[in-house]
Amino acid sequence: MPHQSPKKSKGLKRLIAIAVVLTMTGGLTLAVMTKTSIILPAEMFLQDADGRLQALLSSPFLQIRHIWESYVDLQDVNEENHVLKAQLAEMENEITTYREALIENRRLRQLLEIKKRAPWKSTVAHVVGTDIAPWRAVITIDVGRADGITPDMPVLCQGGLLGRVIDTSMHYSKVMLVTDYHSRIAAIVQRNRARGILKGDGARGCILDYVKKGVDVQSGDVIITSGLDGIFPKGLLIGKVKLVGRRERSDLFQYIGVKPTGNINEAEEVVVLMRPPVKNR
Amino acid sequence: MMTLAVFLLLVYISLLLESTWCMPCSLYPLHIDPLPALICWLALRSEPVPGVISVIIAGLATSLFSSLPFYLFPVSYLMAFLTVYLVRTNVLELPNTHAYLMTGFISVEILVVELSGSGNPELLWPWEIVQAVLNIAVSPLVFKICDKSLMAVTKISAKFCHEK
Repeated sequence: MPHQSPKKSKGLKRLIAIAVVLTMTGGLTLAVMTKTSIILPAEMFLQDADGRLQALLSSPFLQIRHIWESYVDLQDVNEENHVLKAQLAEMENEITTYREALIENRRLRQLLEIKKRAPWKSTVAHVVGTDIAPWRAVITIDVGRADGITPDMPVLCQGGLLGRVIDTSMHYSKVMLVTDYHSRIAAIVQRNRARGILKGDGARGCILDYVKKGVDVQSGDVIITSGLDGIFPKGLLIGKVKLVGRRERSDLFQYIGVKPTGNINEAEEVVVLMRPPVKNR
Repeated sequence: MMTLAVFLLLVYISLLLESTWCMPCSLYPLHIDPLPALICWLALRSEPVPGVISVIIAGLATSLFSSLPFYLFPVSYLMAFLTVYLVRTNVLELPNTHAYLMTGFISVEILVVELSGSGNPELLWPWEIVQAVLNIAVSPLVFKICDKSLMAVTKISAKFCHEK
């Protein structure tokens, strides 16, 4: 057997290798194209394995991407949320302002009615404070001597009589309410003209005192000013009888509890009746 | 001097708050009143003469916010101040809890003078006791505010003097 040279044998090996590669490539291509039964399971197995690997490798990246996108979205949402919250607060503020204006408008309309019906010239004032001693029903209003206010001028609020001016400075005045323990007003029962003195009774309201026992006074009777005290004009609404009680047998007078009809504790605007000079009265 | 300034400033602020904000939230005739606690705090920390002058000024300032006779507040505050000062000079050290109780005692004292003097002694019982208890409850907060304010004012003034 003739001995082949190493150059020739190397070239042969290369040729065989190329042939094998070509055959396999061609065979595989043919197999894939024709989907032979041998190649399918292998291909499926490999594809599955690849898919699993891909899934395994891509899941952290997907998670990170998802988190990042969520974060970016949240950033936007957060900013949007801030803007919306600010808008909401602004709207709420606006609504409150409008509502307050509406309520004030109603109150002022009612005060205007009181002013129209008032027997004397009048001026509107705002309540700015209350007495530091809580047992005194005294408020401070923002009109004073500069506005022509003097002590003993009657003060009205929505629903009826509020009290009278007891002290004045240049721009502010103190008003003693009808419920103050020191308040005394000459009053009558509108229905039967029974006279009495209306005393303040603190948080309980007022008491119509010095009404004789035999006089017919019923719950719900309207109490008005009699004008006899020389401070309040006649006919101002004070309140309604809420309770007619019995006192001790020896007592000459009835116990008549009166609830003021004015919004005494909630008054924000009041009307001060300007007493005319004595010569015009 | 700082103590007196802080006292007068806090009295004025509390008067403004009491006469405006407390309008809707007072439970007649009870109300949150930091003044007795303020007087107690002052009496525990100040010298007698400046302290007396300060409480008289505080009393006169209070009477501007009230329809009560103007002399009632200075008299009642002065009595309260002297009571606490007397205790302070005879007791070596007054713990905080005792100081709070002293606020209650002087509240009763102040209310007796003010209610009797204004012609409403019928309100003394039981309201003054309830008010005194309320004032005791408020006093720790008032003491804390006073101490913090004094500390802040002292710091600010020290800084100001240092810069000068």
